[in-house]
Amino acid sequence: MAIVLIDGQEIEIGDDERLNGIQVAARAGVEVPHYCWHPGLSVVASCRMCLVETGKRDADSGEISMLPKLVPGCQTPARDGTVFVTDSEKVRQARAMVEEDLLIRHPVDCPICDKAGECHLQDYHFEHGRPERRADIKPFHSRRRELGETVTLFVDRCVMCTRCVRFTREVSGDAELMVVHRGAHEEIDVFPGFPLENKLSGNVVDLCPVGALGDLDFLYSQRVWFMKQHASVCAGCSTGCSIQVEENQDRIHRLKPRENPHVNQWWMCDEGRYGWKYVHDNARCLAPQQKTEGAWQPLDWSDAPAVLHAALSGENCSPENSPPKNSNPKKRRLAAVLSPFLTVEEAYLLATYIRQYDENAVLALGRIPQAGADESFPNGFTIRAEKCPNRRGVEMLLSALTGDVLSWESFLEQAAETPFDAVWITGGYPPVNGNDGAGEDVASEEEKSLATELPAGLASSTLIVQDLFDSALWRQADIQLPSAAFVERSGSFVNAGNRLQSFEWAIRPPAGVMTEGQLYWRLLDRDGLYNARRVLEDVAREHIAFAAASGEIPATGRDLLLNQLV
Amino acid sequence: MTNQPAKTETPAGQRVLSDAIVAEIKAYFPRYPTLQAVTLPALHVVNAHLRHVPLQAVVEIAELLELAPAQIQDTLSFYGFFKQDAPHGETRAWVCRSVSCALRGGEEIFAYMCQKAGIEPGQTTDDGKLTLEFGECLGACEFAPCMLAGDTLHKNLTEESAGKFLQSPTG
Ligand code: SF4
Ligand code: SF4
Ligand code: FES
Ligand code: FES
Repeated sequence: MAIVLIDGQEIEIGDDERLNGIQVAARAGVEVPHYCWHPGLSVVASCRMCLVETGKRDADSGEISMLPKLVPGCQTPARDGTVFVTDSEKVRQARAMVEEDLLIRHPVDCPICDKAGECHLQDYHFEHGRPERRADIKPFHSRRRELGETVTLFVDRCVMCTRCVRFTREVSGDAELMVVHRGAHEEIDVFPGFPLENKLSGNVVDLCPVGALGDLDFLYSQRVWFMKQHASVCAGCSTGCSIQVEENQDRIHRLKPRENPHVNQWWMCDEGRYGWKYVHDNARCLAPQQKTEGAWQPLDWSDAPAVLHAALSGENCSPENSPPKNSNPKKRRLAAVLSPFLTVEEAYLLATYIRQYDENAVLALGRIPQAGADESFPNGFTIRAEKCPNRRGVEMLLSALTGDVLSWESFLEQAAETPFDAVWITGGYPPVNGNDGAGEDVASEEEKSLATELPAGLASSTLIVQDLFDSALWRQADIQLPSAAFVERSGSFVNAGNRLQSFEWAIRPPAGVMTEGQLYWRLLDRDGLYNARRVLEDVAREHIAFAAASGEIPATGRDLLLNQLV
Repeated sequence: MTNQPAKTETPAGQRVLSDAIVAEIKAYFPRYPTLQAVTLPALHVVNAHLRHVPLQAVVEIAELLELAPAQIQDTLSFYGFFKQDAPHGETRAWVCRSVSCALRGGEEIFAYMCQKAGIEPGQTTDDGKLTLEFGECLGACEFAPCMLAGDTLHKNLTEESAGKFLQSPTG
């Protein structure tokens, strides 16, 4: 064990921990301001904002000897006996000088800058800068140029930390960004004809400590202090990046990655980052309906339990009385298709509900949307071809419940052989022509045909379809139940690496929509409001595959294979 | 990127690096641990042949070194040495303006030469023979004021010797 001294405070660090001055100081609750250093990038120690005093405490005599000059905290390793002083007059002076230098040519256009409110230059200047400006230069330029389809550069706001440049070289790998010229003339740019266009490009905007890089999708759409942040999980693919949903009054304005060393480190892909637009799409299904004698009738959510009971059991019950449980005198053959967009909790509740009517009800995994091949980047970040968040979770649940995983395709074959009496199909898929940020049509042939044709074998069943968007299935349904989008629901997804991550809803669903969890909760006659946490406890208790999911789930999720013999 | 040319493969006909230049660059490969380390030698080779390093040459060097053009341009723009817009003159001359030479009239000589040649500092004469630039200490302060023209050091410059040089700068 090593002991490091931060402003006189002793901090213990593990023997195999390799921390720099900024990181150990953070452990002592001391913030060392920094621009160029980022834990996910190489160390260049160029901005000099993190200058601190350092020295060594002699192990035997306990005597401390300090280095006369200041050193960059980001580049100074913390070892046993290392001493850091971050609050001396010398350090304060150095910070004030760096701030002064950075602001000499800075346009200080905070009132029209997207970053205002979350800008390091602002915050550090407030905390460490000089109250007055000494330079008499007032030539403020405010130049802007596009670096690519999604990222724009406000040239003169840049503090030349080169985080963005290092990101494109070390993480995304296409090295589109560069520093041109040097000294007072240095600027960030792309090479003419080689714009910033890689699938991780949006991350440079998050990385930029100031307002130099702007996200064209978010630009001027919302002041950051009006937004609320919610920890969530991206539903774009089976990587399941930890994200932060930023919304104001139930309208999403942007998604940002949330640090998770086990999944996405500090990054997310552009597909996920810009792929949430369908949540606010006007074409979303909003009204529950039932078909009565061939005509659509609005369905009141409060009547849903009775109507669904009738649809599943074939028995009517009066809307006033809550439907009897476990009543399936006609021995109807039932099935439920659990979408890979359902959370573990929702899938479990729906399966439980269906099996109340038919304990042999067939449970199948919903269609798995695929696009292209997995794509990996130099630092290991992977965008998966499997464009759904919870295939693993639903699969594990299905094998726990049925000993098998019935795929959508096999399910359709079964249905074609012996039609079911009633089938509940869950969806939640983003719209067919895709919303992958690049605006490409990513729909597969299967997706296109599902939009127009009802799969054979389902025609004679009573169909309960729960989905976000219109499709042939939706139109042929006997009962239509609008779905909620991932940001409107609570529960857990299990990603391709068997990591379970739980999240709470970030925005409320549009008027008329009841979330899956809430509906199933009500159908099962549980008390109060849907509580994903409680459901997951049940799942963890009942199914060994989910045993690791009991107790509090950390913000970075939990590995379900932990302590399991595989 | 709306105002920039689209990313396209350059047809072989428009390539600016001849086979000979490419071969000369490749000859450096075995000498360095990585291809990126060949960046500066490659820039010098191209500059020696073309008297500038146009953007297209940067793209081609990047292809050779398996890098992005931005990485080459980043290094190139660090130096004031490599011109990109147009070739420099047959002879490129740097008149020293650092302290010893400045004290001994270097700047005046430089002004005189520019005026005589009819160009501004940094420009090239119409006949393409000469480019005149400011230089920093040439390490020959004992001969101040001095000038480096190509590889030749001109010591103790006077209006007379400078005038003579201007008459046939290419020697
Ligand atoms: S644009 Fe932002 S991230 Fe890039 S160097 Fe400038 S300040 Fe740093
Ligand atoms: S890699 Fe997958 S989970 Fe991560 S942001 Fe992209 S789409 Fe979302
Ligand atoms: S953060 Fe240490 S020098 Fe920039
Ligand atoms: S100052 Fe001109 S050669 Fe040294």
